[in-house]
Amino acid sequence: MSRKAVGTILLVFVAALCIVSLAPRSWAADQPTKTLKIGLIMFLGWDLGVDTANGIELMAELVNKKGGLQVGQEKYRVEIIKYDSKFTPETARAAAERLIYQDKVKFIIGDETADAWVPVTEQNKVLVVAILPAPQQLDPRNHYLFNGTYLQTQMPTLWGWFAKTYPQIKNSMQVFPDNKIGHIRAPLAKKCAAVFGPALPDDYLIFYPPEATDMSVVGTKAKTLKADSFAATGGGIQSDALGYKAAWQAGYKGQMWSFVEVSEILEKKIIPMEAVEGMISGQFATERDPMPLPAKEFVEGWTAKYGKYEQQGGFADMFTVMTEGIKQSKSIDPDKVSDFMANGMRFTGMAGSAKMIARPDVGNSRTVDCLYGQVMKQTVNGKAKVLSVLSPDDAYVFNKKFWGWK
Amino acid sequence: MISTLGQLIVDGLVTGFVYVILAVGLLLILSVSRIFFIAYGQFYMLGAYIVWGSLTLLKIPYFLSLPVAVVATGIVGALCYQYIFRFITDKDQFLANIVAAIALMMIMGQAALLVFGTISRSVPPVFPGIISVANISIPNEKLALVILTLIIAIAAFIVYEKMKIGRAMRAVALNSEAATLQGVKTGRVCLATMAFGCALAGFGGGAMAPVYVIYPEMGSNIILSVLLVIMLGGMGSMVGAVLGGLVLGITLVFGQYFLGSMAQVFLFVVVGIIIFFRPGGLLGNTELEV
Amino acid sequence: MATQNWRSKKGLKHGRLSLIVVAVLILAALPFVIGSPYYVHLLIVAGMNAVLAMTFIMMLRTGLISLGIAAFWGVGAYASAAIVLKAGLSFWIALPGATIITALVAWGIGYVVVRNTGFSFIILTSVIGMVAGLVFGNITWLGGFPGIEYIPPPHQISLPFLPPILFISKIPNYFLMLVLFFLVVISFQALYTSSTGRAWMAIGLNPHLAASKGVNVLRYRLAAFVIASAAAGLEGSFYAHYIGSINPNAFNIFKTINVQIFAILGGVGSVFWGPVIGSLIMTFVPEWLRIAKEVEPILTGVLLILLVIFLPGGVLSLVNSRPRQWKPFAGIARIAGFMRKSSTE
Repeated sequence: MSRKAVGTILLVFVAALCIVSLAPRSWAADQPTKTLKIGLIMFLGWDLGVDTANGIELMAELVNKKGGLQVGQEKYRVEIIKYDSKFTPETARAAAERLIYQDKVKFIIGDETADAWVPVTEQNKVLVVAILPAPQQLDPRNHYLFNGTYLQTQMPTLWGWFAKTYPQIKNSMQVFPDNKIGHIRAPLAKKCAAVFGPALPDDYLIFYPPEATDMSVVGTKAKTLKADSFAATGGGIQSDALGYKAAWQAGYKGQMWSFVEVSEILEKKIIPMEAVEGMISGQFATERDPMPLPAKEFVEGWTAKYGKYEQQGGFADMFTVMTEGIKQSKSIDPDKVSDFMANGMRFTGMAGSAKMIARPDVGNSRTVDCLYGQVMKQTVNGKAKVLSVLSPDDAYVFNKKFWGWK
Repeated sequence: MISTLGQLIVDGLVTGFVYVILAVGLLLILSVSRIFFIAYGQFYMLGAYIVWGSLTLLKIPYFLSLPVAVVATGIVGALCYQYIFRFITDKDQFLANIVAAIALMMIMGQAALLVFGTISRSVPPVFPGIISVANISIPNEKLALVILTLIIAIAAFIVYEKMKIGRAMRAVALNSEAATLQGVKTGRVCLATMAFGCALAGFGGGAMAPVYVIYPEMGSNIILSVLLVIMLGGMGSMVGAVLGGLVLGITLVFGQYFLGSMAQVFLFVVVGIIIFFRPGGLLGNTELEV
Repeated sequence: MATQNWRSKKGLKHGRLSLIVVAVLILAALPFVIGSPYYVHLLIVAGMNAVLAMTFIMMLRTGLISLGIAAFWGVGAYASAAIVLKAGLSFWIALPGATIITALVAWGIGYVVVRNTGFSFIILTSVIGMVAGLVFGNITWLGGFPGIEYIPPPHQISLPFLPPILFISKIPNYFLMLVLFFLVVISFQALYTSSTGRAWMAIGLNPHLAASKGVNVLRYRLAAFVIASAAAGLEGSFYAHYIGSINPNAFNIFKTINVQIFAILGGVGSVFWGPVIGSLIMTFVPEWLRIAKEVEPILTGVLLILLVIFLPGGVLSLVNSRPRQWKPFAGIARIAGFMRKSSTE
């Protein structure tokens, strides 16, 4: 068959695909029980996204195994409709449009591409729980948008605790990736230093090209500046770990720390044991002893389904935030759920007790952000030693000081 | 200050070497088979994962795993040529092979994520320890990486310049029609080049595996830098690729140290200026219009 | 003899005109027929991408492969958002304003960059493409890395005797996209058939020969670069106000590469058919393949490879109706030939 002939057949096939996709599709088959559809927009092209998506789907399965989500008197079967955001605004937007207009969902869990599609969810009164690392994303004009992660409240908590517990540390060197997340976190770090201490002079704030393999400059700077403390965050597990490794290899001898969680299992794979010794950081809920109950159930479920639980990170707990909102408000009406969640909802997530808090610093008096308790640990002799357990109220004190709430 | 500068230069050279071997391999493919092979980074990633798999799953020691990875990536590269690129190497189909390379990159990237999973894999360090000379320190493993890369790069040179197959490659790179007339089997040469180039990438990945991290996006993350190196060094020149890699490394390192956040922009500006004044790259041809 | 020719020409013209009218009617009725706003959205985005692909082709015809298209698309988006949000003006001023600003920026950059031909032009524009996102991200006045949110939709149009046209639902935006699309198609077509277009064709076929015949290669190439980039800026403005928010992530080099795929897939020989077809395929097929979730990129990749192996000239190579006046790959062949030639080591 000639090339052209094959090409024509291929083209007809593709055209058929396009036309088929235009045909209206009805997913609403007869369901034996009531179904609650929750959309999921996540980047399925990298580990964090895949882990989060798998985690959320697992949680949905666990809920369904127990008979479904209790909403008032009814029980609903949870169905997750997952679409790839490809981390590009256009694809994420198309995913949201499809979820809203084709799949007719009223609830969406999303990733950092939320900016691109929040306009259409707001317009259609769809409740969104998303990964929101930047304060301005909690704009009060958004009525149905909630932060499903503690990205913004964790930093003041851990930083504030670190500064208070170690007043002898006078300055710190901070390393961030030179991308969106890094440039959102860096100013917050500067503010933390200003509010809590230790000092963060401008040239102690280092950025590295996000795709860089080699972090030797970080190491050299660490060696030259000889800061009392050193932290590399925001680049994801690999890059952060390489940052610490580079500092250690360059001969840095100060206190290594992090204001996010650092995983025992994973870091040990990437950084030599001697480097990690003495590092102070947050502790993942799934590495705590004992684990909060939701975390325990999650790990058991994961192990049953996949074998071993080695992932860390992933924001699967957004599912908890969403379902707690629905469950506690006893409604599947986004307006009611939104108003309930915005009114100081308390719940227990994978990382322990949590509550929703307001963000008056961006002018939002509704409780749209998440505040969890945190656990601080230090790696001693290769094992995690718990230094402090902070409740949500403890975390609140630090956050209040940091953001300047009244 | 001197020792800092010295350290920075050493860091820059080491960083640059990471790109050199990849630039050499990609350059070969680009000039001989004229495929804009943006999927090249994925072979680097593949090499790293194969080393990991061979080491942790098959328990083959590292120094045997490395050749395994090299051979395996070479074979995969050859297969890609045989079943994809062989059909579109006509110069009229230049645009088509860009699309094919992009598509291949997408496929391999996602396949790697699905097959190897989301947990970062790591290979235990092969050369632990750090050397320190005059307050300038290099981890042993990076030194080993540089030496290994140098050896392989020289080997590639020898093949390209001295050996019969290399001469055939050069002939095809210069003028494939004339080469055919001289009895050179162009298709076979392109196949061999693809295999060789991808094997180099696999070597790069495998060599880098114990030093850095292995994750599925490492291929797509590195390809832009490699292309930048080739542009810097000049399209046709292997020595240029080496030079480009070193220039890139040093520019990046100095930029990062002194400029912090603007380092990436600085790098691009430097590259832009160099290309502007020497359009063929540092060692390439200045005359561009054919 | 002459009368016969004239009559058949007129007949041909009538035939073509009625075809165009029918096409316009179909396109106008389409969103009402389809029903779901989701597909209307896809059509809107596809239409916008088709215009971007057309700009790629305009530059391609003069022998320039630009990897900076997304950068100028971004300039238009940011300019428009700034005009509306910072200066408080109406979208209908921002639209042409952003286009003009993009044209000026393209003129400034192009003046420096277009001198370089062939491969180094590709490199320089790819540098621009890679840097653009970083530049946008570092300008905190324009939102920085988090970007700009709450960009208002186009301001309403008040018509006499009729209710005002609001741009909140999909359908008015669809028609706006269509209007912009036809605007660009008509102006591009007019340019191609004018003396400028002939100059471009000459340059694309053989720049040396054109220069020796007195054609100012640099000036015409710069014109193509500026006009193409201005069109990209126009679509950028539309994009910013349709989506409602922008951030630097959208304007990276992968976007430009995607746009090129649309153009190449469709076939680079035509003014707009190729880009439209390529854009439609690449918009709808991945959306349909969403069922495959994580596997979708693999399927799309395989499909692309198959399409490109069997239809290397793009979809339009199947339709060989008229002898083409322009050999689309002459300029590209040059670059490919250069890559081969420069390997003298």
